[in-house]
Amino acid sequence: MIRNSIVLKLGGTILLLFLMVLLPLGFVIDRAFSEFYYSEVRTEIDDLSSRYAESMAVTNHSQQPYMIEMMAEFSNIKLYIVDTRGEIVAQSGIPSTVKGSSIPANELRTLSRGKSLEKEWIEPSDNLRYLVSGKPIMAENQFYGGVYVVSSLETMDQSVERIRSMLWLSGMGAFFLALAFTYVLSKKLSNPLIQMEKATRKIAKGDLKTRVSLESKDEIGSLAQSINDLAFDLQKYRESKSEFLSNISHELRTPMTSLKGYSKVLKEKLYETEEEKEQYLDIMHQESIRLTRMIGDLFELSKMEESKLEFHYEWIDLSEVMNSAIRTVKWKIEEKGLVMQDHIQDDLTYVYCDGHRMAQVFINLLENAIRYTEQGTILVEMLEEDDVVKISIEDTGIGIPEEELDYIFERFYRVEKSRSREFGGTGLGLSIVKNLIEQQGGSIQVFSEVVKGTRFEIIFPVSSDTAKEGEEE
Amino acid sequence: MKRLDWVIVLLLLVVGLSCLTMSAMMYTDSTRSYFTNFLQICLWIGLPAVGGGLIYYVIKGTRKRRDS
Repeated sequence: MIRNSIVLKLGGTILLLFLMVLLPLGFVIDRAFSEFYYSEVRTEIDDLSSRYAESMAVTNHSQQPYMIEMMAEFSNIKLYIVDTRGEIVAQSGIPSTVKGSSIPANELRTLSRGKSLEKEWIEPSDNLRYLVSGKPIMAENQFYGGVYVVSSLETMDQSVERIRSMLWLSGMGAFFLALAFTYVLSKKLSNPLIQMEKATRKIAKGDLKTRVSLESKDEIGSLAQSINDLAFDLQKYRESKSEFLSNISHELRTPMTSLKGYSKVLKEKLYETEEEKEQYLDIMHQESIRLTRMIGDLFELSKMEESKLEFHYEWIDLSEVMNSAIRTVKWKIEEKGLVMQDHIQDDLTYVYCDGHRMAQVFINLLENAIRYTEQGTILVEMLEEDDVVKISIEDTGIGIPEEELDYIFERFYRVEKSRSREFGGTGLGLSIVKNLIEQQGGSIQVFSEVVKGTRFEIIFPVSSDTAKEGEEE
Repeated sequence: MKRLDWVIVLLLLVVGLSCLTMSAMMYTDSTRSYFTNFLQICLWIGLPAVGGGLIYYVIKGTRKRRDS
């Protein structure tokens, strides 16, 4: 794990990049210094040899080489002078150069053509490196010999060597500084990632209460927030799911127990009157309807999850669908003694949707309103404004607490567990409603106040774009 | 970061700065110039940090003013 840690990878990469910059930079600085010193020495001896050659060309006296030899010895300058045959006639400070010996023929040829020459040479006596600059002595296009000025490169080599050591030392210093900063940087950068990795591992193991505590406002902070949101949603989902499973098993068990009990009573003829028998049969019938509805809801949900739900789109007059839905639930409203009010605008623009599904949505919302309203009114409004059709279903029922409003469309969610027992329902209805509306291009919102009531507002766009899209489909 | 991490960082900084100071002192040999060089190197290191910090706070301040 340590070898694969993000700190090591990040730190290693930064250091590698730093070395990739530092090493060539050091090489370039080293070359620049070496070249600078070399060029200084070259300019110096070139200048000196030129001056000696010019001076000898001007005077052209037979004693001139010996005078220059004396001056050079006095000034501690290393040189040697050759005549027209390439024979050394004067020399100063170079033990291996003997008077009377000759320079190589190619050098003589170069000088006799009036050209300068330059060479590096190792003195056999001290084994040191020398730079030699040779200049021809020319007067009126006549060759009179040559002057060689020699300079030791040892001092330059020593200076360059010293600078090289200095560069290595400063490079090491820079490397250690970079190491320190990289260490802090990689730790600081990877710390949130490590923290998140630990948190997600904990979440994966089932500890859904784990949260990442990062306050930064950058992408890392956003990622941490997403992990926290995900954990929260997962926690909520898991709680809802287990709650749903226990609810659904209870919901299934209740009608099944009734059916079992009443069928036994009927089978063993334990009723006393025909009226009693009819009553039991009626209960069994109601329970079977409830069971069918619950199974239907579950089936719809599973189809929605797999996106297999089919919609038969057509241009629909939603007011007709609403009126039909109201007629369907009217008997329930009357049975509970509630007042039904509807304000439906005439000449509503047709909406491109599935009429059967919309009826399902309206009936579901109306049944919800009836279920949770003990007394008062159920108000249905439909109107068109700003290219949208607004449908509102409002009741004066028990309402939903504000903190629960965000979750009521979630699957398996119930405002209170006791509600399902008291009012029935599967906890899937609103989830199905929201899914159906959104899949048809609409949206649904809920507004509620406890004790005062709840209002569901559905919005469907009727813009020309929607119509066009619909026609194309 | 733990205390050990900070100790390691401090050690690396001291070694790095010492190397740089020694390198700058190749041709001199006095305690005074050692400290002068040391401080100057610290200054050169601090300069980009202070510059970067200033730019960061200026940008942050501008953003805050724009948001409010």
